[in-house]
Amino acid sequence: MRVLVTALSGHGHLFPLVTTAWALRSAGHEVLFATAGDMTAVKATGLHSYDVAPGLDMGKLVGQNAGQAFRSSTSGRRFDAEIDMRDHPAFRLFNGLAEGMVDGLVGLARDWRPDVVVYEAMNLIGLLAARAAGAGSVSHAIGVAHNKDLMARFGAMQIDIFQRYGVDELPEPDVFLDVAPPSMKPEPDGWPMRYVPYNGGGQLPGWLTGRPERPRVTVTLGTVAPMLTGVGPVERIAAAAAKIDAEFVVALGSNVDTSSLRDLPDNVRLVGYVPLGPLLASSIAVVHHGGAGTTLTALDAGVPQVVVPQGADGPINAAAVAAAGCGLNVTDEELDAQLVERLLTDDALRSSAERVRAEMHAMPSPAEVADRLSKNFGGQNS
Amino acid sequence: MRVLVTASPGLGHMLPMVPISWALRAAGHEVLLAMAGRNAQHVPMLAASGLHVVETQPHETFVRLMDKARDGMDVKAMQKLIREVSRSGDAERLMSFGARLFAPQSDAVADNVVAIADEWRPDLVVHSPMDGAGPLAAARLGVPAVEQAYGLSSSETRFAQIVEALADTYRRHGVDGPPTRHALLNVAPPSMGTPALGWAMRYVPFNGGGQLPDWLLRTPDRPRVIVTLGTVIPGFAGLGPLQWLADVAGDLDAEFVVTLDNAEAEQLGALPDNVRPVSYTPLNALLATSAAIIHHGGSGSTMTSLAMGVPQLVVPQGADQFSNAYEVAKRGAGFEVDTEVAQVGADDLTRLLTDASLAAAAAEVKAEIAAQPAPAALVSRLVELVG
Repeated sequence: MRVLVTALSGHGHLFPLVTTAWALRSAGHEVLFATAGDMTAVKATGLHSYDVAPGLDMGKLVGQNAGQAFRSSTSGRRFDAEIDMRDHPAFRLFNGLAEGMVDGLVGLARDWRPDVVVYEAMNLIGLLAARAAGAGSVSHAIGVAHNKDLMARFGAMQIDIFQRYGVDELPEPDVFLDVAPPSMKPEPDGWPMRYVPYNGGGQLPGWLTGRPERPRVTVTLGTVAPMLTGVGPVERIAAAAAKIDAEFVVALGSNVDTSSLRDLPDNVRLVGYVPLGPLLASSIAVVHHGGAGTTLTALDAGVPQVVVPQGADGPINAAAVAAAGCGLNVTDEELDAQLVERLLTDDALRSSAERVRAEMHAMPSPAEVADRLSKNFGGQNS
Repeated sequence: MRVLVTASPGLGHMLPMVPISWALRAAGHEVLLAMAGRNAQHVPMLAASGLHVVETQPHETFVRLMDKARDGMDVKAMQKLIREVSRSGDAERLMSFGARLFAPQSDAVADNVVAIADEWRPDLVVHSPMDGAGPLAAARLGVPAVEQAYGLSSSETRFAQIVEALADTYRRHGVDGPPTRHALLNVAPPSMGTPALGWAMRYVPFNGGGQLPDWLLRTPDRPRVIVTLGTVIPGFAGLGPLQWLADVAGDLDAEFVVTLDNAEAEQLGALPDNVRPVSYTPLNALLATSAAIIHHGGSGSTMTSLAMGVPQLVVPQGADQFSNAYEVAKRGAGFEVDTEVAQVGADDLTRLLTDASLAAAAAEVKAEIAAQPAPAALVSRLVELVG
């Protein structure tokens, strides 16, 4: 079977599809990963990739819209409200990317003839690629917030793009892959699939595969938030750390202004980009911004979480974590030593985190889903 | 479960471990690759598989060890010896030759592999055929080890030979013998090499990822022929076996894509218009729109060509390349040109592109391989082995 996988090139959008692509590849299927903009992340996945919009200036689109979009959605209300969001900067950003990618993606699908197109739920032009190739269409959720209805509403706002290709009404995908743990969403939107984190591969430093001497707490704000909303939560952790018997490993990526994080206590360590999976495997708790991938990776690791939402879908993820009992949903100002102490000692948080982890590990793995996709779509075009 | 994956240094040993590692990860298992390279690019190329990697030794170690193993013998004499042993049909002698060559490399990484395993606590070790450090670490922890073949020929005795060659290393770590639970994932197609041994597994090529250029996605108007000597031979034995690209390729109505960077290609002199050098590009992606391949007979190139179903012209230079060339010719999916005797000529190229029996046999083997259980399908057996 030939599978065209497509996502935006940002880590949060691209990473969750990698394990699914590996599942297909290791089952013997051909996989081509189509994206655009910054090709760095996809080139490090071992997959064959294709740039559907060479020269696409992500920076320009991001520069115009992203900061405002990220912040203005911090309340979480606008993300899923039943209102016309067409003027919202977040929509303009995603729509701009879709406009930039659609011709190249559809052209690729016509040339490469996939049997099925697996598209990141927000990259709805995957539906047009599937249609162009006469292939099956699979929407791949990347977080607990990405439900089928919301994506349909999001797609309806992009109907102009579809109409240019002679499609008047947004089609439904043949399959929706839902990665939400059952207790966070009792009725899955489609096929449930275990979220197996991919957060970048590469060489691990020795300290990451060994056991830490003190209990380790991971602190991360993902790859987008620290550039848009700063490192306030890390400053608050740094201020509280001296009072706590734990090692705080702060994973902030490479393009972040850390000038406010000088003179850190001995038990706070800044590291560059470190894959979150192995880092959490050596940690007993995590403090993070509520990104979809970070939240699911923490749920998979079964560690209690403090979520300090910074924007985008962070508030929704934070609320879901708190409702499941495996973490705390707090504002920047609420983040203090007492709260961190609770994170490390509250047995109820820990047992809930372990329960959700067990639930996730019992869901059909990407390997099993790949098998099911093959039975449904194999032989469509090959 | 937690799976530690080990391999001997060198891309031909390291990269074939990626698909089974992906399969394990996609089934939700934890995977850590503990490997070393033979040059500075090897570990980064492995890490670009997206898997997690720890480097077990700096690559300089192995340059020294290879020089020592050659024991003053020059490259020509070494090739001659391997050729003789290969052609003698004495597979066991070739195998013990290999075991002796690779044992010092396993010994060099053993302390670190054991230390990593002691800390990381795998439930299973998956190792490449010539690697003895992974099985040692598994034996120490009392967990099973599974060998994954990278080519046509596996052996019932090789594993024991490697263990024997590492007797001192086993003693140093206080381990009595190899893991009691050991299995083999065998990628030989049913009609080639030694298919009866171990558990049959579909060969899924991994030749590195990468961004594909437009021209590679479309089947060209005239047949495209891929030409490669792999990653070792050009630096080791030179580009002599490719001189025909400058001399006769221009006479053929075909497009030749050769995996050399521009500096290397210049060594061949002026190349005709229908020869295109490309820097490292995954071989399976190159073959997807190609009609044939000319290669050195490395296991990765041979297996990838078989899996993609293209006729092969093999110009073996060393290692297991002579036996791979022999197996390909015996199966009818290609033929060999002995570059010690003659250059590849226009007649050979015409035969490669027009002999329908080659294409038919290649298509048969492709179908055989595709019908084997994929790495993803073997994961449940590995879980059962761990128990």
